[in-house]
Amino acid sequence: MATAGRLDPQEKHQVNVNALSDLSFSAIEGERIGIIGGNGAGKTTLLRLLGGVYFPTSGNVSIVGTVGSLIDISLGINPEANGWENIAIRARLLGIPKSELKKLSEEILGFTQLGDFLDLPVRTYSSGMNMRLAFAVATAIRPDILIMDEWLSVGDEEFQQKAEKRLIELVNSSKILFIASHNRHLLEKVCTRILWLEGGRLKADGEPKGILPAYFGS
Amino acid sequence: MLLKITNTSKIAGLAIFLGWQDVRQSYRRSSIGPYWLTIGMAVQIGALAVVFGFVLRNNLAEYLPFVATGIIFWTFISTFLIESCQAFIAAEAIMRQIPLSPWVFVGRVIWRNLSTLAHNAIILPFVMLLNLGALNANLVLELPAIFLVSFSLLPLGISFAISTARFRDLSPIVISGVGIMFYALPILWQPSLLPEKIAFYLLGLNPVYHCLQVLRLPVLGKIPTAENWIGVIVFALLNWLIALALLKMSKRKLTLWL
Repeated sequence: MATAGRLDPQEKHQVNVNALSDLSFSAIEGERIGIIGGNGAGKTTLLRLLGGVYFPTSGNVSIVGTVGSLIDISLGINPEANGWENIAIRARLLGIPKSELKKLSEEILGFTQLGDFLDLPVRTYSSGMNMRLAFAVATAIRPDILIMDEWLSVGDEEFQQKAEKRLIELVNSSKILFIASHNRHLLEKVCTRILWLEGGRLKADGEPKGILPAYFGS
Repeated sequence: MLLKITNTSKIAGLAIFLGWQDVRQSYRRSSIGPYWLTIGMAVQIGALAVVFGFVLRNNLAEYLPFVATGIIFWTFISTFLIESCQAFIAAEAIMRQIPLSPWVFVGRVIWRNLSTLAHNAIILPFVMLLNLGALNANLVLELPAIFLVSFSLLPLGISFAISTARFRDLSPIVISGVGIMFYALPILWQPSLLPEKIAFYLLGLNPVYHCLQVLRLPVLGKIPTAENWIGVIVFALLNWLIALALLKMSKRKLTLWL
């Protein structure tokens, strides 16, 4: 299987990576779209394009509605700040209004069960506690279009079930889901449509039952 | 990411919030936080005043406030210019996930430096004790001066941040340039020492000199000249024009450079 976008060697020892090319599709409300492809096929680049942080060098992207991304759930976490401050920092970055911060903080306290640890700097947390906090804050959004890089699974057995429930709620509340994944079981369970990328191009676009057997080879 | 923040007051609000976070960060696990920088600066000013005051036989009551205002305001300008180069690089993780206005990150740098300036300004009352006669109502000009200089530096910071994101070599160049500027500006030496013609080329044409003057003179009880104010305003206009052009050119590519 071909990996990587195409390399265009140019003058002056400059190499341009064409991470995506000739890509054209549209998504409508209710679709749950899985993105598959080998490493370097352009999955993350496509997710960033959909997230509005990358722009195409040719062609155009038109996005209607709010977009929320769960690519990096630990984004903006400051280990020296305490749990409450980190909730506030993340909420500000996500554009959550100040008036909703108190309610959000209470809700995260209940969900993460971090208790008094929220008063301590995040650097004192175990990695599991750290992930609980990051997960809880990152999933506090309610966007129209949700972007994920692999399904999120965090914490111990008990927390994993709570997290799963919260994530499903978030996914169900979104109108369109884009998820890049290598997990066949997940893609079959969640997705209504699959985009298969290879070398930055769209190799196949259609229903999971038609594409997944071809991709996973059975 | 939920809302693409376009509105100016929201941009400013987020920039100030992040700037405060940086200030709070310097207080963490330290009892006096950013005042360590202030103490270092006070020692530096004291040493300079002693050495230059005695060596050059300057009148200390006049020279100490001159050096103190020079160092404090120059540190504000120079630190902002150096740090703004890294504004986007430091925010890489955020910029690659959430589409926020680039102004947020440069605004954060200027707010952080304004806050440091406020900390360092605590040196000034002590220094002015030596020369109480100089203090007068002209001090009120300090506020518009700080506003105007910040307004002119902000877009320069955007230009530096964009250019450094694309060409990382710019950062060391800015650091050296700022180092040279320290000697070319009347921070340690009085501008009256220069012959008029040289003063015009070295100072009159240097917009940073005018920024320094409008910031410094009101504290020393003097009114900045019309030339100083015009210098800063022209500097601001030029910086805004360049910054807006660079932003327009780089808008679609900025995050790819990070």
